[in-house]
Amino acid sequence: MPKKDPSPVTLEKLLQLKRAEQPSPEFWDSFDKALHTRRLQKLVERPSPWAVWARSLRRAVYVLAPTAAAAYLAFFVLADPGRTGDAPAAAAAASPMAAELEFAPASALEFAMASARENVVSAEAFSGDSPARNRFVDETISMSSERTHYRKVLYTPSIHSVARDGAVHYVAEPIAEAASRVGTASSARMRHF
Amino acid sequence: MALTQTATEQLTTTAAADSPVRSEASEDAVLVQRVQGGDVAAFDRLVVKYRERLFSIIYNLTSNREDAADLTQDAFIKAFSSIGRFRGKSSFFTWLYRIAVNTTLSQLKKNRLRRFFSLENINDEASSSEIIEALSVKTRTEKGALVRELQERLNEALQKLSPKHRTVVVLFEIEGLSHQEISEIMNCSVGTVRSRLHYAKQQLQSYLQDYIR
Repeated sequence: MPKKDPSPVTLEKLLQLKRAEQPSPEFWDSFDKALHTRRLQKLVERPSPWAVWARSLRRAVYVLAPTAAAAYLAFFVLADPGRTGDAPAAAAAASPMAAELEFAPASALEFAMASARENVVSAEAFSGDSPARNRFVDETISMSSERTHYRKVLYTPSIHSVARDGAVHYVAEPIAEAASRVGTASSARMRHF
Repeated sequence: MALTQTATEQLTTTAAADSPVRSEASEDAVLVQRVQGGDVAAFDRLVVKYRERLFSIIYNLTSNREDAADLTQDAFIKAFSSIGRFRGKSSFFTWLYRIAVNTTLSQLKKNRLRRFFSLENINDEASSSEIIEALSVKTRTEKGALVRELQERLNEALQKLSPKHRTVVVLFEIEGLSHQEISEIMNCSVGTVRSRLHYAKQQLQSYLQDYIR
């Protein structure tokens, strides 16, 4: 009589052998003691200064980021009387970098310069302000066809000119909206610099 | 009267078949609430209830007894620390398993675990199982030596898999969890679980082809 074949060995059956691998009861005694000790340590431990600092910083970022954004909007957009009711200008102001990019076309810039050149005033006209206090300068644009260098100012679509003799002049009148596409500039706002 | 009794028995049987999972979940929920209320002893009951299963998962992921013990404790400490934030959106065991799996995978990623295997004992029941009998006859090897050899080969084969593939195999084939439960624990789709399982089993088949027939 032929010997009965044992059941086939499958991967699933082999893996089920792993279920039978269990530690001894003594192992669990030491495990429980170690876990109990660690849990007590966790209950009494004080967080390290670094952990406290990191947690505070994380919270500050969560709180300050929206606050800063709201403050920016309130300060530069809503408080600007020249922008109220002007949707494209408001959009440009809300996204200053986009506004800067829109400002780039030479023809629009030249048009703005040409219309503004007639209305420049000396820096002394703004009492207490000086070019050194301007913290928002983004870049300097040199125009070969002009004898002055025009500096674009970030966050406000104003420009000021630097004459060859080093005298600084600010644009006092609003730049034409259609030309600059970055809103208006006024002497009142320039005082913020 | 007899009919009523039969109906009652049927209802009881149906309820009994359905109830273990639900009663387990509700029991966990009660214990979790007690821990959240400051009853530390309730956490001990959760530890006793889940320590074997958690250890088993981690041991099969790491193939090392000491690492598995450390990581199981880490998982329980993490669970204890953050149980106040557990809102019961998933079952407690899913949440706990997720912590354990993430803790282990994180350590495996850092490659800070011991590389040698330290084997656990296989109980007598498994040693005399059908599969050991069959392999013993086939390979003409003494059962004790065969069990030892199989343990080593299974551990080696599992360790050749990527951690994510290994996790799926361990949770499905060894721990007996469903695809859905695994997808919740591993935070991926059921399709991904199936795909990983299929690939992992193909790999294991080739690694263990000497034993499989």
